[in-house]
Amino acid sequence: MERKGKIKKGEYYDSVSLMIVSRKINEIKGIIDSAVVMGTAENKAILKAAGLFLPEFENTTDTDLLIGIKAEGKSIINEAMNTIEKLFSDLKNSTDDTSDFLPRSLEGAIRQLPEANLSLISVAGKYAASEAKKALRNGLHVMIFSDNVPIEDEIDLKQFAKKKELLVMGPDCGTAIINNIPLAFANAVNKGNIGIVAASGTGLQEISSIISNAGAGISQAIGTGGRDISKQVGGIMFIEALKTLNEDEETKIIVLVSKPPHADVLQKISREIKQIEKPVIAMFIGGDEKLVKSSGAIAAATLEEAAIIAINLATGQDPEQSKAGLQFRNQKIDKLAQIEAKKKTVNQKYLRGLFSGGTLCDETQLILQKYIGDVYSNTPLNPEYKLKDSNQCFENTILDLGEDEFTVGRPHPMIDFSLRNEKIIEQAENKNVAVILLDVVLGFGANLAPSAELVPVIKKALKKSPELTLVCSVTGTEKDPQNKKKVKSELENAGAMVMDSNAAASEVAGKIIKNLK
Amino acid sequence: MTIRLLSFGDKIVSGTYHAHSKFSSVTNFTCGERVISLLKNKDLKSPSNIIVQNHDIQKINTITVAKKVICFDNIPVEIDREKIYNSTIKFPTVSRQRYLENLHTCEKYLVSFPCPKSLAFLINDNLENEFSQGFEKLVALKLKAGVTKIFTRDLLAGIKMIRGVGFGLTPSGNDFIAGLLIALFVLENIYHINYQQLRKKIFLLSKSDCLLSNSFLYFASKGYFFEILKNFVLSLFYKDKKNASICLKKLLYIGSTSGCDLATGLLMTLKKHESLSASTFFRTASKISTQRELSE
Repeated sequence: MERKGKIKKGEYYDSVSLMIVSRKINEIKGIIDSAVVMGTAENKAILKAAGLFLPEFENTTDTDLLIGIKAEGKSIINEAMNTIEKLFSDLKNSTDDTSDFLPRSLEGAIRQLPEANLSLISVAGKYAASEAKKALRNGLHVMIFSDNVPIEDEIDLKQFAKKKELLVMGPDCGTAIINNIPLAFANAVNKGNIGIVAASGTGLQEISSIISNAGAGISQAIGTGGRDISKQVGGIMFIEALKTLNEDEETKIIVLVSKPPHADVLQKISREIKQIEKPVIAMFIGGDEKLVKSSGAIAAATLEEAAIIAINLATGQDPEQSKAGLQFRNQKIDKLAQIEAKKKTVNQKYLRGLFSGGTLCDETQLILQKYIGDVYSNTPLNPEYKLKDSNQCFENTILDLGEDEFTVGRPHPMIDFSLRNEKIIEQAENKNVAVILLDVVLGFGANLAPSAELVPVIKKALKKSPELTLVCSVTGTEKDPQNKKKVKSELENAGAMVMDSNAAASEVAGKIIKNLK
Repeated sequence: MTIRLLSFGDKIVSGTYHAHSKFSSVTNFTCGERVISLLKNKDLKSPSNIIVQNHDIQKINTITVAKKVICFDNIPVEIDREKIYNSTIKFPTVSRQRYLENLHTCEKYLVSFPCPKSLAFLINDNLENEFSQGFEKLVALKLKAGVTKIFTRDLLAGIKMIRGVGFGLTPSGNDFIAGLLIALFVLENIYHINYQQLRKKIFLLSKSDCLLSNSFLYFASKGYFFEILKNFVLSLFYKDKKNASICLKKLLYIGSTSGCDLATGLLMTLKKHESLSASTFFRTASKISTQRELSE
């Protein structure tokens, strides 16, 4: 074992710099103990007790900086001493985080904005967990946009956050609306009294947009990341978010939305719903409706229905009215579908859905089951209907183009329409295709000029196949940067049939195909 | 070159100050035992800070302070009265219930989100595990023993044990003492107990050769607050829980552990005062302080 020390006489370093130097020394392999302290009599007494005191420290004063190191060998001591010299030299030449406005670290950002209580993390997946932990340690709620975060890290982060009474949204959380601020892919919606917990990004967008378009509003919309409701993660944050909304004074009604949670997780969520005094509406795509109802929640069949029930409750109306309103709307869709079906050639039999939103894709499959049964997909509800090749459509097919297999090396289809545009033309050229169904998701983060991309493609497709029905839903609001009203009008002018919700668009598409049978 | 004055501390005394220590965003100047700091960060108003804009503060070597003018080397700047920072604090009517609730919330916040290796472990033992190596452990033990002494038996003996102990330019023990001094000032004002002599004695006992540390302790002993601390103390009495936590958070980000150590001293002292019926400890402390002859 070797010992060595250094005195920095009359040199002053701020506390942060001293802590950085101290931490860096301790990171060197082979260091047994170290101290970087001012030479007060009291510190010197502790240096003696720790075996770090050197004879040359004897005559130092309170204003001298003392560095004492114990290491396994001479070479390690020398390495440490070189590191120290370099660090002090760098620190002298460095500029302070707080003097400019571009923090280079989370700590720097917090120093600039101590009022902040949320951190949005979008870094390569392997670094996300450590950044998120740092943020949690600093008392910040976290939204992790990054994907490819190991599930063990997700569990650890969420358990840690729960202890600290903080939320972790994500990993792979693409949507949230906190205090009326849209985060990542989200829409500009009205402020109101409806809170949403979602393990589904586009599900959250669809519900919040429908609510806002009807004149009601959102208090908070908390995303959890899709994996939260898996058996391993156990819905930790879904349940914490539900409790948070229950305690939030501005939230009067709660909407829950997700792809089907694992059965154990659904049971846990149901138990939690029983403790909630506020009205809860649950839309778990393909989830056990009986279990949901037994918890006291109102089960919704579609995202649109969940939104309309919430609106009715928020405006003091009977939620049953929502069902009556939707039935009336669906009767109109019946007639529309009959007219469209009559236009088809004898060869036109099939539907092709080309989706950018995963939850919208699942919802469509669920709705289609009522009219044409299971459909083929790269993400089928019924595993027997899994496409052998996701690039080869078969009979009635619904593709989720946001899945990893389609996004490697290219942006998400909500941003980059090129792949879907190619597929629209490809399907229009297929004489067996009667209906192409699309979702167009607006909002922050999404393609800012969807009409400019889609209008020429829709026109080209309808030119190739004039009998084709091209049905679109547009998720978004008039306040979105793209403006829903404007986009809707431009798509309609191009020849598309534009519906106000994904559920309505799926109803039309399913009924047209049913009428062809 | 014009220098724009953003803030001028109300306790800065006239005289010629010479550069003492320079950091990237702050330069300290001294005149005898007096210390003033020149900086660019407008959020750090204090009784002895001068905050300026439009100038490379590292280039300045002398500051001359007169009644209405400051000279930065050879550049004179008029002191605008509106820019004088008021470091004093007053406590009009206080709600005891709100104060106790905020005290509880802030203590909980402090132990939930402490700076690594800060003195928050004195409130929550679990945080002691952060001190892993031999030297660090000894520092933690010494501080713990001293603080236990402060709050159970002999305040001044405890102060002697922790002064000058720990990490940082102003050692952690001194930051804790500054927090305790501030707490005494607050208690004095809200409960009308005279701790003036005790505060003075604690300061004299904690003084060292380090002018920067002494200046910090002096202002704490006199009840002159830097702005972030002033806002936090006021928030305990006049803000809701959420805002009190935000003010605390700002304090915690001062230095590496300085803000956290000071907050620990402040909150622990206030909390102890509330938990001891009839303020047993403080009466004892006052008695000891008036009887004991200081050895230094």
